[in-house]
Amino acid sequence: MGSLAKLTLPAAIGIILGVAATIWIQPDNAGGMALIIAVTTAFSIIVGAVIKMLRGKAGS
Amino acid sequence: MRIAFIIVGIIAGSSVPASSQSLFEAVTEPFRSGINALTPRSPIETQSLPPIGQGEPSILYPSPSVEVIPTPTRDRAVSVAEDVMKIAPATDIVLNDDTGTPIFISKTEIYQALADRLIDDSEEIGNNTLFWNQIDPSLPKRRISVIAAEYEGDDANSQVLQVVRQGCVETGASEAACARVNLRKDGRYLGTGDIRLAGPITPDLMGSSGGAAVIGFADIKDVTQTASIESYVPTPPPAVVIMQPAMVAPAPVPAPSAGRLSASRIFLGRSSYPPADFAAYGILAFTTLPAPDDRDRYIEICDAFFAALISSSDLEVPLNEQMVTVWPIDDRDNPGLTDILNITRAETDSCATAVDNYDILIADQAIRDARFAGKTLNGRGPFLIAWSPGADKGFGEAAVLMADLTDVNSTADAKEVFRVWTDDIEKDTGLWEMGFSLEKLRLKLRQIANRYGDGMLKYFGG
Repeated sequence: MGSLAKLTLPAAIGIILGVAATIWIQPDNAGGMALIIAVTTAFSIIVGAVIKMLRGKAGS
Repeated sequence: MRIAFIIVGIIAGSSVPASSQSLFEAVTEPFRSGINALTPRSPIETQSLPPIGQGEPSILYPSPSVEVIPTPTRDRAVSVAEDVMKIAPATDIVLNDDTGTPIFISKTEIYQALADRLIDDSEEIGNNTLFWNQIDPSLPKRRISVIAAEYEGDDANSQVLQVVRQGCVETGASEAACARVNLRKDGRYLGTGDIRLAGPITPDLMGSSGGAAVIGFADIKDVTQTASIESYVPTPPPAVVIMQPAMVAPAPVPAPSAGRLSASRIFLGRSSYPPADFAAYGILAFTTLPAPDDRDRYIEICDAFFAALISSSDLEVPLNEQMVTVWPIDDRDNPGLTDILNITRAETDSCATAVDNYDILIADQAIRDARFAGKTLNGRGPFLIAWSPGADKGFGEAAVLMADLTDVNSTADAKEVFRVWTDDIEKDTGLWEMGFSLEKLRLKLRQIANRYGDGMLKYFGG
């Protein structure tokens, strides 16, 4: 549960980015919108994880 | 006995005057103006020949007053001297390499340049040789571009074909296989090019030739321009229309200071391609003809072509300020077809007709030219391709504007692509090569989302 909570912030940012990207890209179908949000969310989570890892290395 | 005179030359583009003065104007000017400052050479005996295809080859017949360099400086030329079929008669007429040296071309090389297929160990492979130096590295790096002019009823096409087949046999291929070889129809061989010698080019040049076929390996732009010279008279279009993609290069795109171009569209028949009166042109090039399962996609793209681009005749802009996007039409069986299609709005069956009569040969040539200009065209297409300046079509240094409609699956998608295409055309051509813009990125992302989004939802049970 704890690790899931750590994903919340990056995921939330990803979803917000996805919605913004959807508005900009204007896909024709729901599938396109879902794809964009999924991609931005995944991207945001990965970036968050990388940042966390770099911080961990810097702290140690 | 009929006397045949064959003159062949390879135009080295760099030797052509850069101005609009045509090659032949440059060439014939000394004769026409009476300068005749060329050092008089001893008249060269004309020789009678058996018709091409019979007996021993056909040799060249320089005209009596044409300056001839009898001793080629190139070793290669010397080594094939016995097999020389044709000669470039003068350093500043039909040429030569960049240094002005006459170039001798063997039948085998003619075959490799002009045959529609090459016989290799009884295998027949399509001939996609585009440059002379692909045949022999000692030949100039110039696009193969051949035109044949007729004189007094000789069938230049059949004579060239005979030479090509002879060259095929000389490579060691079987006669049966070589008999199937024909002339290329992809724009490298341009047939008689709508010109016919009404008489000798000039008395000085061809005075005692007596006539017969003249075959010129020529820069077509210049030969076409010479059609206005008195020695040439236009004739009705030939019965067999030969694709002439390089026949009339459009005028270069004006400099940015000359004003912006307006984008337009046109359905163009094979004999009218490329469009001559426009500032520049592009082409919508499909990679294949439609099949039953993707015909609807072709029609949707055609609908967008109609909707997103304005017919050139409707546009209140002179043709020389338009950059027209061409939908090539194979109108050989229906010459009036393009008139029906060039209308303001698509009618019920307009796009079905346009798709069913799409001219894949012209499209294929345009795609190949774009690839030679360094563009990557790997998708299913279609592609929108344009050159700046248009006269540089097919040359590597030309700036190419390109749009890929591979991911386009609907009329709406295609309209978006055409809209961006129009924007690109109407901006400074110097920016064409920049390639990236946020709008293009948005459009590409949209195409990807539309294409794969639904599939993803279905995968997850949506």
